[in-house]
Amino acid sequence: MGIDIKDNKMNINDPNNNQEKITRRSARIGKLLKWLKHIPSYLFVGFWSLFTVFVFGWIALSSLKANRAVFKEAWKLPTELHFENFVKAWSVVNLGDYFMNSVIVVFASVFFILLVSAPAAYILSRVKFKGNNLISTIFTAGMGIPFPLLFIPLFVIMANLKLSDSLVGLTIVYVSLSIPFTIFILTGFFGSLPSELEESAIIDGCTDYQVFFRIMLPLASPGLITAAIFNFIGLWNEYQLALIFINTDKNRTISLGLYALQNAMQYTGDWVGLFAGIVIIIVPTIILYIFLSEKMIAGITMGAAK
Amino acid sequence: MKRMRFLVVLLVAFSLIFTACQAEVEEPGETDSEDEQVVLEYWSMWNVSEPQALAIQAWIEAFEAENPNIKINATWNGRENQTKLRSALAGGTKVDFMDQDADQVAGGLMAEGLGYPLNDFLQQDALDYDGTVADTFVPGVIDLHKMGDDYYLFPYVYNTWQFWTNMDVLADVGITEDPQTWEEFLGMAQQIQDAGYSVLAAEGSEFSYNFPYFAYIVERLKGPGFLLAAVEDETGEAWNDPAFLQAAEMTRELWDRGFIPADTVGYVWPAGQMTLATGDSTMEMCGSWLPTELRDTAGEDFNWGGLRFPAVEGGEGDINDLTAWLLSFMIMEDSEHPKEVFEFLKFTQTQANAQLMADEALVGVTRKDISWAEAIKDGEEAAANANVALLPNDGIQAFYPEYQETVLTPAYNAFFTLEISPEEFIQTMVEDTADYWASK
Amino acid sequence: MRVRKGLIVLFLLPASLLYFFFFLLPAIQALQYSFYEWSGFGEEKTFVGFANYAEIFQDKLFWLSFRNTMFILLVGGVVVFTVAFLMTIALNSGIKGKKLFRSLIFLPNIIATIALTTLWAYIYNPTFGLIKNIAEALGLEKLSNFIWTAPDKVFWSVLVAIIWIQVGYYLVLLMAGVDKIPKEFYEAAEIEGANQIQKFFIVTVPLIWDVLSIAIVLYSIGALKIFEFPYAFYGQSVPSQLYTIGIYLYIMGFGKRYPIYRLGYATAIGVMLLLSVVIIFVILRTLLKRDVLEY
Repeated sequence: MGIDIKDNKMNINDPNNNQEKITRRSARIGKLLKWLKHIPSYLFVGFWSLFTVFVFGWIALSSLKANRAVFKEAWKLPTELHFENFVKAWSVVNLGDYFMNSVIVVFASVFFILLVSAPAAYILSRVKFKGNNLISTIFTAGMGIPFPLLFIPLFVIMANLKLSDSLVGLTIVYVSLSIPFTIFILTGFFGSLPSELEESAIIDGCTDYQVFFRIMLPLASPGLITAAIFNFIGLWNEYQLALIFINTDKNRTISLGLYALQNAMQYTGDWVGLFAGIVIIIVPTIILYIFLSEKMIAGITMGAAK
Repeated sequence: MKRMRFLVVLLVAFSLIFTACQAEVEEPGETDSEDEQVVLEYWSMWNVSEPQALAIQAWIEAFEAENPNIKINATWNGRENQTKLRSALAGGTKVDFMDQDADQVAGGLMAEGLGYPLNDFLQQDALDYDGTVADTFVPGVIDLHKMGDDYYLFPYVYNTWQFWTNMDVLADVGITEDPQTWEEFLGMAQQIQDAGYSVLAAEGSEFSYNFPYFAYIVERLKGPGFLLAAVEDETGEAWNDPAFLQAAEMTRELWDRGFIPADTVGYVWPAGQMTLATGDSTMEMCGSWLPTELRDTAGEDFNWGGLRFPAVEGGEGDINDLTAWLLSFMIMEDSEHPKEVFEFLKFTQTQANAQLMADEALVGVTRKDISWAEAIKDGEEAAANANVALLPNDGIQAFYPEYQETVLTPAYNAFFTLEISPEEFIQTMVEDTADYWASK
Repeated sequence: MRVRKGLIVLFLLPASLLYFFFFLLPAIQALQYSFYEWSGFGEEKTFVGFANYAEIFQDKLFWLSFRNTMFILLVGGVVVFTVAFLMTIALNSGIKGKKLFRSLIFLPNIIATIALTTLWAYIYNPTFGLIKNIAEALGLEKLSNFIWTAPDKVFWSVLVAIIWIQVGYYLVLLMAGVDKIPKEFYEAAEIEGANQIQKFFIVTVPLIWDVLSIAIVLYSIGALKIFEFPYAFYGQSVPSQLYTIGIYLYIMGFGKRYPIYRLGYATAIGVMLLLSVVIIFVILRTLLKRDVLEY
């Protein structure tokens, strides 16, 4: 690995420290070679990432153009900046109310999804008991059921519970429909954790709860984070279930605002408005995503490494 | 670990706040039965901030001011209104009236018998017109979606299907007269092309935008209902009528002569219509929403005109026969206040109110004597002169949506985008129609 | 590991209750519709037994959508995982900015589908699209005349876009599995003189086998159910070349622009989809079975 700089004592046979200079130089060359070795990797992921940046940049820049320029000069930089697109989109997407609704519903949903799925996944993946396979299979089978089939029966159930036009109802639906997929991911992460830790913890006098909460859960945290992120992203952009279950304006989520913008296309042709709405929605999403993924991963894996 | 706990606390707090917020929310829409107050539930295809929605909201406010005992609760659902309504009805939601594209309602709620008949209501005196309510509509419109002898739909927006044209190009080429026949139309197109312009804009595989070429030609040749009858023929043999092959060949000619540019096969909506807006092509056959939709891209100075689909010499259809894409209200069959709903519908058909919609949304309306927006003035004229209004796709869309989607669309898309020849298209229709009916 | 029964019940109960009442129950109700001809409106359903299923077997469009779905599953799956693996190797080979790259590659999954479909339609546009402009600038005539969204090619063009989006998603999943592997294993391998590729196949793959199988199963199920991107791609309608089973189901039961409202038939298609998922899942489970390596 690095150069071991020995103590600074002078060596009689090498008064100018040439030996060390040579070592340092070869180390520098070694580093350069290593860097060169990485070039293919950099190129590969670099180009791919660059394309993604380009994509987002194109959407963002297009949102600042006028509609004509989006089509006539699709790939050029905007010559004038039309910030009013954002004002217009804001009023349709109703960032204030819709955003709060989305935050509430999605955060609560992700929280409850993990809350109910993590224990279940832990048991199903590590505890042998009669019926484990059956229950696992029943949960997994849910992943194969297409959601559109559930629209009408689920709506009837929700209507009977008087939860049909409410954020609570939508949250319950989101949580329940995400359980199979989340349990499936989490069983993968729980499955490979070392059982010696469990056993030694029990020997040390931990209760089963403590084993789960203090040892297993933190170790599986990359899986929890991943499941949280996937659920978050999926639910944030979800609009079909929201469309079925939400009617009144004050209960709308931000994805429904985007849906409204899309609908209006045929009579307004306001593509830049649509892009502006998308940018408005993406920005908090990205901020939340960065917060969730990087900060939390750093914090939690540090804790877990104890 | 500490951060994990902190996070859990944070999320629990969130959920508690959220639940608390929910506790304050009341259930909306409780009808107060102590007063004489009537509450009408209206489910709308518009989103709350669209111009059409704003116009309707103005209508509602004015109506409620004049009728203090009636309140209208509008739910702005967006385009999948009827589909949403289906779930809601299954869940027992009460809705008094709704709106949607007329042919969708015709094929959906109306066909299911869930509409309230308007026969008697339409005979009431109009509010500001010397005649019945039915008389306030431009010709052909009220009868268009009749079911047997009964009327269920109350259309309020009229989208005409014409060639929306950059009139500056026509002026530049020296064309001053609307082409009356197909031959004249081809001649005009040739002139435009010779002057160096691209003629027709179209989208690649957008069936609903491209099929009207074929449908119009068949109607011009054989009159309305001929195409529908072919669809209904369970042997498929009706498609062998030479009129269909002729219509296919005439459509193909537009490609062969380059009036529809070859690149069009790859155009994904809205690429085609954008070429019209940016001045790169001359005309597109589309609904009269097109000038409004392209307004922002085309600019305020764009000189719009609307050409009617030409007649075919020797054919039965007239140049004034006009395909009408209507948006329509419908009263639900189990509404408890159909009379009150119709008071509102009647109200929307006054001169002032219809004009409001035409001005706000820049669309065509179904009321007589209304001044449509400048860009679609030709639509206004066409609608007023159309003694025969035509169903979209001759009614296939309303009555046989599955056939349209699964049989007609793949075959026609393949034909229109040059994958199969006119003969092959007809052959496919003969076979597939028979197969379709056999599988029922 | 053996635990108290009470713990088992407690840990499983909340998920099971929610799942049962709000997923299984409506699903069972829904699946019954497949034996009826029903528009979804009103109470009257016409019982038709297995007629819907018989019709599916004869249905050209269904088999077209099935074929498309299989391509997405197989071709798409191979490409997505190959690329994701290569990226995992690249990102774990000690380069800087690993987290940044991963986030950027994942980014398309955050952006609303309508934005992505609009963008790709622009990229592919034969007149003013990005590819056309670049090809023209580079003088590549054949490429600049290539019509990506022509009916015979549009499916593959859409598949490329789908792959581009999915790579980021599975990269994140795979890397989460790789992150779990303690450094000591890699260091031990390096001492033994392993290079990057060897490290990958000898250390990484076996130790993330459980996460990898999860990822493969997830991808397969996702591919079988795929809906959003092809549905939104073409603008107002969905041309039959872009049909997947999920899209065909939706069109039959709900419609895009023109509702068809054949809920019974759509449900039968849903049952076929469910069966496909079950079959693929069983196949994958058998193929991917390995003892879970603990460490």
